[in-house]
Amino acid sequence: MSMKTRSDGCCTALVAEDVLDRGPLTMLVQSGINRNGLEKLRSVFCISVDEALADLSRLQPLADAAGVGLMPAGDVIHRARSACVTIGAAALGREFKAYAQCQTRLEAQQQKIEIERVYAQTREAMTKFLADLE
Amino acid sequence: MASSAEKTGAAKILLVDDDATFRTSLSLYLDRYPEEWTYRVAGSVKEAVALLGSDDFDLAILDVHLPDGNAADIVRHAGTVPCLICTEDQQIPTYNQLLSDSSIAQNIVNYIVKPLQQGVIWTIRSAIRFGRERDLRNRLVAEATASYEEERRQIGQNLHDSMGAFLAQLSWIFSRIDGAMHNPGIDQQLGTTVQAICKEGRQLVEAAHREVSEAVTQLRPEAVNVAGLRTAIEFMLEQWKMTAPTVKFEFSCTADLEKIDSRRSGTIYRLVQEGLTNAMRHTDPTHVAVAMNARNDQLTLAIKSKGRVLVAKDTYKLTVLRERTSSLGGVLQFAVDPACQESSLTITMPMA
Repeated sequence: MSMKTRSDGCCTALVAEDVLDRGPLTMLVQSGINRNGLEKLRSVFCISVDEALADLSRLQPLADAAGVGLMPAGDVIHRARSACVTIGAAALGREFKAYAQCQTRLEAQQQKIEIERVYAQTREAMTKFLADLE
Repeated sequence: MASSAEKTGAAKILLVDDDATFRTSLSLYLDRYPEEWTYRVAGSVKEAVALLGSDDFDLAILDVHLPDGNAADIVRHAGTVPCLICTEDQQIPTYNQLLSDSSIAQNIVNYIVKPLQQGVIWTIRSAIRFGRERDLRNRLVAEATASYEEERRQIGQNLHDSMGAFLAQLSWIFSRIDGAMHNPGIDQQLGTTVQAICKEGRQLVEAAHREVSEAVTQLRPEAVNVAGLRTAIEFMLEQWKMTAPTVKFEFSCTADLEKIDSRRSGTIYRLVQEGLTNAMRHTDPTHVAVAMNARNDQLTLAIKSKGRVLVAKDTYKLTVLRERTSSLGGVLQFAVDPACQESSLTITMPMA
């Protein structure tokens, strides 16, 4: 279990199953997908999320303090959430969804930090999943 | 003709999703069965439409939301390619919304859920099989329709040639008998009686000639070939106006019907003919409107009639119409609105 600090200062606990629901990846394993395939999927997932974070960094300065201008991030968020759903990164998917609901640029900046934190946990969980396959 | 059984080679799949992770996940499943299919990927509507224009696909797997549009924009360009929609559970209403669009519903055969479930391969196989069987059925119906039209054409030609000739000869025979009755050696009373009979005979022959001509016109919609589909339909409606002067008929057409080839034009003419006949026979209408509109190479034919509303849709004889529609790769919808006393038949089909 890991701790997660919200932007309001409260801490919430993330259970491992919430960081990475092993269902989708286990389904791939049960369907005969080998470790190489899963490594490839992890790699593509990480590239997708890295790109999404880079896009958010690029778009944030374009929004004004009241949050006007955050809307172009919609496509980025949609794509990132789809990636999260695909591999079972439930918590990270929720954080991206929360980003889409940010009303101000400050909220968006804080939420991006949360995304990065949960993303790090998700990567660790995927590494552990792959290690457990050994 | 390649039958469904013959078309057993590797299927071609178009996979469209802007999320590379999902594309990779599905690719991992697809790569397990390389003998069953090959696939190409696209991340946007633009890329997908370009690929659809450059290759023949057996199946398209489409994400609902794309950066430059949505799945419906691709389905409209997919021709008869069956499409599977990728959706998250909570997006099933979106899937239903896509299905409610009659211009694309014909091609949406199922959906697959994100994250992928183990049954996804079976869903894909089933969709490919569905598409191939539908292609086969459409080809068979198209061939049957073409044979049927050819038979009608031949019957019409035979009626015109043989009956027309016989009736013309009969008319001449009556004229000769009539002429012979003017011979001074003929009893005058007998001559008058025979001349009266000849006159009746010629009138009957003329009536028979008109009947045959009408039957020939019904069997061979020459107007379509000679004057074009639009004029032929306008002529058909003019005939109905004369037959049923109390009914208000309207025709509107924004589609460029010149783009449609002669075989399809003939079938569309029959669809209008059958649809109008159904409306006139079954709904006792006060108002009939025929509209033909085009959008994205899809032609929509709508026949609306105001009058008696049928309680059961089955009483509206749709079997022949469905078969003709199917032969054009189209979809038929029939709806009744009791509140407005309106029955509407809507057929959507590719223009080419």
